[in-house]
Amino acid sequence: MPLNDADTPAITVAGVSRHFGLIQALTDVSLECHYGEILAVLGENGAGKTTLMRILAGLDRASSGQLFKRSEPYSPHSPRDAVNAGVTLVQQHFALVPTMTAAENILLFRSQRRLRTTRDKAASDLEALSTRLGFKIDVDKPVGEMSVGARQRLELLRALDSDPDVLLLDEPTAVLTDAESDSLLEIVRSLAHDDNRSIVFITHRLREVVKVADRVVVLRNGKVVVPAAPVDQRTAAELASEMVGSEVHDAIRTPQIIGKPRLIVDSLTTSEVGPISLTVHEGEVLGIAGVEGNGQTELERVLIGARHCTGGRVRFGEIDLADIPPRRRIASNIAYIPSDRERTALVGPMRCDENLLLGRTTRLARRHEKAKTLMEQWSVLGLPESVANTLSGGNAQKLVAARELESHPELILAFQPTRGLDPGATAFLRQVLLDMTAFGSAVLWVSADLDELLAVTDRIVVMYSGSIAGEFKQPFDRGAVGLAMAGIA
Amino acid sequence: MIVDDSNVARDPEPPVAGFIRRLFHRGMESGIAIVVGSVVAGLLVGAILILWAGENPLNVYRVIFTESLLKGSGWRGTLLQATPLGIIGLGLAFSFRAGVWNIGAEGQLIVGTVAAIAIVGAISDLPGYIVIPVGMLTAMVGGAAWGAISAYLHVKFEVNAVIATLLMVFIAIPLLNWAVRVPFKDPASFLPQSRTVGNGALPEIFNTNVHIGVLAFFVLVPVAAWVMNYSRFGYLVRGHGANRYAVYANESRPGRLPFVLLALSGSLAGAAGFIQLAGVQMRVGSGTAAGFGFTAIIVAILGRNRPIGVFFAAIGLSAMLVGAEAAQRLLGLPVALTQSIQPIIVMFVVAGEALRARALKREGEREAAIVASQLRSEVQT
Repeated sequence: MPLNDADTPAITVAGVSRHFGLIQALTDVSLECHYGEILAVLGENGAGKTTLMRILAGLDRASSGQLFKRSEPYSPHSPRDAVNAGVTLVQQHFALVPTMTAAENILLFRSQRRLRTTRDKAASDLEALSTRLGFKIDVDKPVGEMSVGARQRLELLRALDSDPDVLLLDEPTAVLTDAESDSLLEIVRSLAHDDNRSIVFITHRLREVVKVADRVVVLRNGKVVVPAAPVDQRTAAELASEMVGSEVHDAIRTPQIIGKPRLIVDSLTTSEVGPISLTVHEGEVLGIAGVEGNGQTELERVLIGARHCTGGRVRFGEIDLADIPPRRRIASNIAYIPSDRERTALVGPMRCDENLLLGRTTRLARRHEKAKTLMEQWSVLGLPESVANTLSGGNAQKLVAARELESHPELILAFQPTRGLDPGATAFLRQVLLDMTAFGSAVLWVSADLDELLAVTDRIVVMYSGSIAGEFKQPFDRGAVGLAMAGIA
Repeated sequence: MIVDDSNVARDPEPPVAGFIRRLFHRGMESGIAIVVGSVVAGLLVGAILILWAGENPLNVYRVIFTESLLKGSGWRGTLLQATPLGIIGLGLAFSFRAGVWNIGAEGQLIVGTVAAIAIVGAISDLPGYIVIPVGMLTAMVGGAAWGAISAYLHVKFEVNAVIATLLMVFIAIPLLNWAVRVPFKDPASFLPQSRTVGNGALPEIFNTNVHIGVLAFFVLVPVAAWVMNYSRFGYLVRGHGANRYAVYANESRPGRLPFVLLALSGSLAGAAGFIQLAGVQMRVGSGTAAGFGFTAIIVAILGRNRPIGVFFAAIGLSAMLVGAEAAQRLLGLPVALTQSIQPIIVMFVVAGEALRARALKREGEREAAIVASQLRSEVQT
């Protein structure tokens, strides 16, 4: 168990800067985190939070400045160094081997080498740890078959495996839903306050900062704009404006004229989910709420024709969406914003203007002028000839939105459209999706963020273990939706 | 010397250095510098090997160059070998650019050629303007079909494309051996070889001793370059190579493009096989499996999967093959030695590509930062 020494900070960052070529990712950042404390690091995408975490975890080196671990100089050259010093990181992107089981993945980060006995031990350790923390995890299941939510939990368990006294969490709740993240935050709190660990917690969910953090540091453009301030002296609105530099207004749904049914999912079943029945009308936003891994991904794959269903139909006018190839879907004026956007939304190494052609019939020769107007119109910060990989997360998603929504689609399939985006880009995306309903678009909006769905939808359908667990109309009863998501309805 | 002083004030480097730096920068950006540098490096390593064998490298390289490109028999030989290499290489360039690793062009060539002789052998008395198109078409269909079998295994059963294509070569070779001994054997010959193509022989270009297949290759290169860079198909090929999942989500179903590409590169391998049969060999025999399908992989890689690059790589590699034989004939230097320079060059190219990817990433980050900060200040003002 970590030593209790209230006066010595567990981890100290002193004047750290980091630049990549001409990009100044961090400028003279200083902060400290004590034992038994949760320090939130708040900032937009690209504010430098992740770079800071990577330096602390030994994945990157500072260009200048120093780190201290319990007032000893600390300069990890590798993640292993950091773990040995008692510092572990839970990364935003998964670093698990998909073909290995949960237990084997844990083993991969232990230093023992004898496989048979240690694997059994790892499995039992993992089970004990997850039981104590109130998670359920199948230790013998390959990670590739787990839901995103389960993988995130496993990441946390793996970080705790070495019993660190400093735990770095990089947006651990980004893929979790309300109930899940509440329980995770509860665990994080107990890890700090009961186990006396020091926790540095990166997020841009303000609700969580207010709920769980003791102190908060706000980063903007790689600089500390608010040095560690006690959280209870600040409101969420203040923090939001400090983070983005101006007030953020959430798009709030105003009632629309709702027309005829556009998308009719009629008792759809696959080998894993179902039956699912739902209808989205012209001008309507239907939200699908639910804890990640309750069949949303299956539904997504069926709706885009990537998975065959064993029963039921997905009717859009005369056609069955489950049967048509992508180009037909796009020709039928259906927009698709995928949940796995790094993999399926854009071709990273290609230019922005070429990415805007994906699935469209625009002639290749016209790509540049077309992209120039579109990118200006949708305020994408970038040039048509720059490679999509170089866009920030928010800008990349704006580029996807520009491509998908430009034609005022009749149906929009939006899967986690704002996940992991900074507040500015989130607000933008929400607003443009809602604006589309004025053109008569029907919007199917799947999100793990219940607050978002409550703000933007006309109706909410809850998915639980592969089927529909409840339907809610405005005005929403947050508690009732939450209960349905937890399977109690 | 006239010096632009505004430039000097900012940038103290001498103009020549600046020119070289810009040239290098441009070269790195397009990737040509990698190939040029790799060829130079490969020749340098080759020079060491030649010195070791007791010859003067400069003399050897001079012989290779003059015998393969300058002398009449030399450049004819170079063009004749470059044609099948280049035509296969163009098909492979599309396949590789899309990330579909067709390593089995040799098998596709063999099957295409055997299919062609099966038909052509029977109709070789008809006029050439019938026999040649029929033979060509049959060879292309045969090559495409062989590629399609690999594609089916790859797409349907998720067999790795390298394995699915390569192993089909080792089915094609015994098929060839059987074909020239049993069904299509020339009854008048004691050797295991087929009848000749008869009227199916490709005509010469005027009196150059070079058949029209060479012309076909020269025409195909700009067509392929246009398709790769300016057509929708080329766009999909490039997109598939960069991120196939995005293509599957927005364009066509998974497997569609790999299937098309394996059939396409197979059909071009078949076409090359027919050109070699009707232009040079006249019969199908042991010489049909001459390894063009494998050497063409090097052609595609050296050409960095760009059609124009494939053109120069095919000529260059073919010249080295012809020159290596000349060096053996005239200087007694083993072909094996001079031939080992090719794979050395390929290794330099592969290493260079990795370095380039890293440099481009750094460059991209820097540019993105500049653009973002410019645009941000524009937005704010």
